[in-house]
Amino acid sequence: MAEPTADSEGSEAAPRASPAADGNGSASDDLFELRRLLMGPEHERVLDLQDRFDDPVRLASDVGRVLPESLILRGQDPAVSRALAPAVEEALQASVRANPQTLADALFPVMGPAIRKYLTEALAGMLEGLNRALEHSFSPASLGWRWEAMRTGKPFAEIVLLHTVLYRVEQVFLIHRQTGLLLQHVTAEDIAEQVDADMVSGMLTAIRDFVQDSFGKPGSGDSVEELRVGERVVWVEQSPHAILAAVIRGAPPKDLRISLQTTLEGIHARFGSELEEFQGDTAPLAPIREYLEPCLLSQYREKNQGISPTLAGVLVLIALLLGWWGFSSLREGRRWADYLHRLEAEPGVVVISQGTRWGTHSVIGLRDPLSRDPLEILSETDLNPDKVVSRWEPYQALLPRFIVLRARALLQPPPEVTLSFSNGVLYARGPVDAAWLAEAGRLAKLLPGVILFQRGEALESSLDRLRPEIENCKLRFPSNEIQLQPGQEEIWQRLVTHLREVAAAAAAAGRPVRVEVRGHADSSGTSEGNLKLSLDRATLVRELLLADGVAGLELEAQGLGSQRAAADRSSAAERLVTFRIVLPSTKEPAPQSKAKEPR
Amino acid sequence: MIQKKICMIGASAVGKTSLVARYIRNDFSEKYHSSMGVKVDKKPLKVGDQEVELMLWDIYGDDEFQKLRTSYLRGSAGYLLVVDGTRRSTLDKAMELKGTMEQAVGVVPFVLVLNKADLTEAWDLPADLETRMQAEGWLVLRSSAKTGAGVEDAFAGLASRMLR
Repeated sequence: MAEPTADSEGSEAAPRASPAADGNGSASDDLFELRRLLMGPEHERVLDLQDRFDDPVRLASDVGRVLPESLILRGQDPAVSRALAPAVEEALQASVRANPQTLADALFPVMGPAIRKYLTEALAGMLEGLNRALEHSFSPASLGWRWEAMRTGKPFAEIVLLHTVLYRVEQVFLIHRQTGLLLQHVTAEDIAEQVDADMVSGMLTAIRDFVQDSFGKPGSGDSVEELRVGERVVWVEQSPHAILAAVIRGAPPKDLRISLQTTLEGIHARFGSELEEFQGDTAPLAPIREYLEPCLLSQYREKNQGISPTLAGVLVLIALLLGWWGFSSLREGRRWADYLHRLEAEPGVVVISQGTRWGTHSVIGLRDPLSRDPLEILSETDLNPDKVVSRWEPYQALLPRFIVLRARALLQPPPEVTLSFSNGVLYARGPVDAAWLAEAGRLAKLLPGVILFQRGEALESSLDRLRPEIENCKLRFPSNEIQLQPGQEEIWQRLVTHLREVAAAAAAAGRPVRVEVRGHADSSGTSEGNLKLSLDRATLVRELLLADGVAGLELEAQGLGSQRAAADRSSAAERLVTFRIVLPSTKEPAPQSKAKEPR
Repeated sequence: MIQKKICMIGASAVGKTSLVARYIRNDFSEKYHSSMGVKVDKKPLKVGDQEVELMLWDIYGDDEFQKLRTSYLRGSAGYLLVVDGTRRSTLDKAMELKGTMEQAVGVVPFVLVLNKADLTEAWDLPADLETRMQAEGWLVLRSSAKTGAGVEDAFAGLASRMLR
């Protein structure tokens, strides 16, 4: 208790003295002095601290120093995020109002991925929706469900849900624990049945109390956690002031309980005091709805990855239909090609153009009226005549057969007269009178393709008939001999007869016909020897023919040796004499080209 | 909208359930009563400008078959104490239950309802009962679940006391 320094310091500290001490100035000063002496440095510190709190600048800098650390410490607490949320939201709004570009630039790098993710999910959802719609509208299971819905009188959507849903939170009640009053209630979309949530809330509380009283250990805090009824289960979570009851269809996973608990904790953290002081006014608790809505979770049965069996079935059906369509159009195409082929092979029918469109075939062409009716040919194919459109322009074909038919119609020959046509010449054979012959000679030239009208058999047509007979004739010789092999009398006789007919026809036509008598030898012996042998054989046959009265033909013996053997490779077959007929006046006497003509 | 939980208490067969049935349309089956000892009903009403929704917990009368479950009383903002005017013993029971109630939830507004007012010839309560109780500040009303007389007043009276 030293007093010597009291005077000097007293006046300086005076302004801070309590105004209550006004009445007695010296006493107050003394008291202050005493305080200063007693707790000098501490007093200074207190004043400093007070200054710290009173000066906004200092306070701000002090708080600012510890703010990051305290945020880190309380970072896990949802209350911090909730407290900051409004300020951050307003800050963002203010920023956007001031200059939207700043925020847009900042968000730019995350927007692309976010949009992509959203689109991917939306598409996946759409695909799943499509899959499910298909499944629900076509699958055998869905037909069964429809039947079940009809039978039980339940809506189809409910039956579908029943079979496809793993679990679905249909309703969530938040109930005041003390009073059993309903605080908030949310319902999933398309839940048809409406309950009186207030009554349910009250009765649920009563049931909880009843069960707890009846079976719980007194004072243990045991409570009802689950009620099960039919396909639904009611999960109950409780906190000191509230009860969360979720009505769930199906079999919910354990995680769901954790998320219900988390929700209830979140509600408590934010509305704890409101719940505690609840007097029946639910208005301040309206925002709780936002906490409950995320609890309306659901999970559907996992579909097999990829295409559903129904979709696969539909695809297979489409493939089968396509296959059938392909097969039948291929078959149809082949039938059409076959018909066209037949038309082209038909004399007097010329196809100019053809095509197929939408299953209908069309053909345009020329047709000689004397030819076969294309419709008759069509009827012989498997094509549907209704699917074939034809346009045939008439024309006159210059084929010998048609020329002869036309000539017969025009010239009206007597019944015993036969007409034939070859190389522009129309021949009439048989007993005819001179008047008809003169008239016919005049009229015949009007026929297209006819250059000349002659009486007599056409040499060519005779040759056409006889040439194969003669040229197929083979006279056989024993090995190394110039002597006909015995037993060929019949062949010989036919040969002689045919050659005589050729000679007669040639004489009638007044034209020369050459017959090459061709000798052959086998490959044994020298080629010179064989050449001579073959020529000798040909000469022998020529002599024999002349001896048998084959006259009026140029018979020419040729020795071909062994070089040009017949098709038959056996050595016996090579010892032959064969024949070839040549009509010198015709330009192309080759038998191959002649084969087509005489129809 | 204000919600309030109220209880109907009283000895058995005093007419609690009949009063509730008179007052509101019943949705829940009567069987809750015998099995669980309670039935919850709802009644919206207006007190002045204030809309109130009463959640009525009709609690099974305390008798030899079933004890009153005090857990049902928890959170009540008020109660109707129902007495059968023709049976004096029910008045004693009501006083006992009032004590139980005060133990469970504390002192909350209540209305003493003297039911079966239509049976005046069989009335068995002290003549000065009502004046004596009213002098203590109680709200005492006569009612008849049979005729409906006084039923609305009883609930409205309780509601306005609770909101006071």
